Amino acid sequence: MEIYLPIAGLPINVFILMFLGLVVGFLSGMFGVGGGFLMTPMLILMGIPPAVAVASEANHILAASVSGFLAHMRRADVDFLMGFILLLGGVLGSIIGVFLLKYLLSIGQEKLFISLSYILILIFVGFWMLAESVSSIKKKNKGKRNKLHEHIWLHGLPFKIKFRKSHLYISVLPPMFIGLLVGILSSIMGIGGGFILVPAMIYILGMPTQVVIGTSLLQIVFVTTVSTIMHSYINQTVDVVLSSLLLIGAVVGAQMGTRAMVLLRGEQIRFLLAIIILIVASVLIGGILVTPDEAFIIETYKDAQ
Amino acid sequence: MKIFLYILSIIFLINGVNAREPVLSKVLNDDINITASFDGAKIIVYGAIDPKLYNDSIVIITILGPRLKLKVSQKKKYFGIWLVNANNAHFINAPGYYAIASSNSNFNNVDSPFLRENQIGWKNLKINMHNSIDLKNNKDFYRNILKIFYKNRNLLVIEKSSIDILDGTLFRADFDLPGITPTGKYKVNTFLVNKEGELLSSWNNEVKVTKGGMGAYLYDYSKNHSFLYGLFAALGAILLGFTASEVFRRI
Repeated sequence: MEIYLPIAGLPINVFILMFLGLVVGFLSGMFGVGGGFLMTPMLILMGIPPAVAVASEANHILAASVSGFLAHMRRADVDFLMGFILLLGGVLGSIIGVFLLKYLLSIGQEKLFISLSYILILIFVGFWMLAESVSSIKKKNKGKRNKLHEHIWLHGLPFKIKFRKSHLYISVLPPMFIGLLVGILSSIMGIGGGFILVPAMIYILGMPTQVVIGTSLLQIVFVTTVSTIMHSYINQTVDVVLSSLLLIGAVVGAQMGTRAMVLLRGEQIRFLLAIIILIVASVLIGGILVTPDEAFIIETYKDAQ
Repeated sequence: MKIFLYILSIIFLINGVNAREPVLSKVLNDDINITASFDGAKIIVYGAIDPKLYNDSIVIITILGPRLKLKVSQKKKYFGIWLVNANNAHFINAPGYYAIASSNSNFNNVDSPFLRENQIGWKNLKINMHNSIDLKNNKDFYRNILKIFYKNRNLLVIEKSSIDILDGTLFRADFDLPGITPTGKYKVNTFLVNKEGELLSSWNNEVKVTKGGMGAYLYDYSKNHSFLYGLFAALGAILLGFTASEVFRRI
């Protein structure tokens, strides 16, 4: 059954979209990430214009992360103060990102920029997680125990405050900067940023793992709200038909994933996630190395006013 | 009902042919609506010619979609990576769709001042380019890119011979519009020419392709009330997420 996507301007199979939502939802429930880094490239591969894919995916992640965030809030593992600090950077970052995308659209380089940022970040995060999970699986086998968290020089910067929920007393600058960076990436790449935010909070800020996912979801909810509104306002690229169809599969998949997660240990999950991230990265690398069927792009344009 | 109309129109057409014009045609569905279930459409053109002219004439039907402004960017390989070239070529009046069909398989070889002046056939179609880059040698190159692009998406349909003429007078031709066909006015022109490509008679019709239903509403709303659209999209997503979490908490 085909459905015509009004903003993307093309018909697409409903069941493929819902299945895609289901698979990505399963992974996001299992690994605690939004799944945008998997979904956006898939949508682009299906022929949806990248700018529409990115913006609609932000809207889809918003809905998915609201439901995840509420579940964590009930369990009280959200550090609201840390979330607020991350947000200060994140909202600013997502606004910068929307204007950056507008600029890239105007010079016609958005496709390249989006796929290059994906490749670089996926490779970086993928290998990092792979190395970390392998070493912690080894450590577990040797029976060593990690410290609660280690202090690094970043924590000593000025404007220190106390984050009670995270048991931290650190400067507000590193979380703000992380928020800013994730906000920019989030609006350009159509991701919630969970797969960057979660490792950054654990390894750079030293937050306890159980607080991290709920807090990162809080940040993602706000950032994707802003980027949904900004993308609609500035670029008119949010296709609500597309994002709602993805969501139908995603909510079911996410619940299945959450239940499957219980069967695996933390570092095994991170190891699997690292592998998936690296597979997505290699598919994308193939995409810019292999000779395309059509060595050109044709788009409608408006005259500059 | 449709068949009844069809027959009625044919009778009307045949009478018309005998009385006034050597060729007449009609489009069965001249108002095409792109709704949520749109997956392409068919434009069905039928008509009649004066039977006396049957032996020495060719029926040509062209469909010219709305004119679009198109930007062409080339992909080029730099350092082993396919990058998009920043130099763009601009077509200022490329047809969003073009189809041509004729009743004679030799029509492709026919060339005449009439065909050229009236831009009949892809090669005679005038498509102008913006002179922003040096196009002296590249015009044909870009035009060929356009052709490949359209053919791959079924936006360009060139059929050597696809119009059958029944009893030396009635004809019908079907044209497929793909799902990505642009909205706007489509000109359907029927020409009756002799074997040398000179005009004997012609007839014009028009087909309107518009977005309809919920999709059209959403599209217009996103363009005219961008900020509110974004606000509602965000609110809708938050509500959906909230509902989903409530539903699954109870399962």
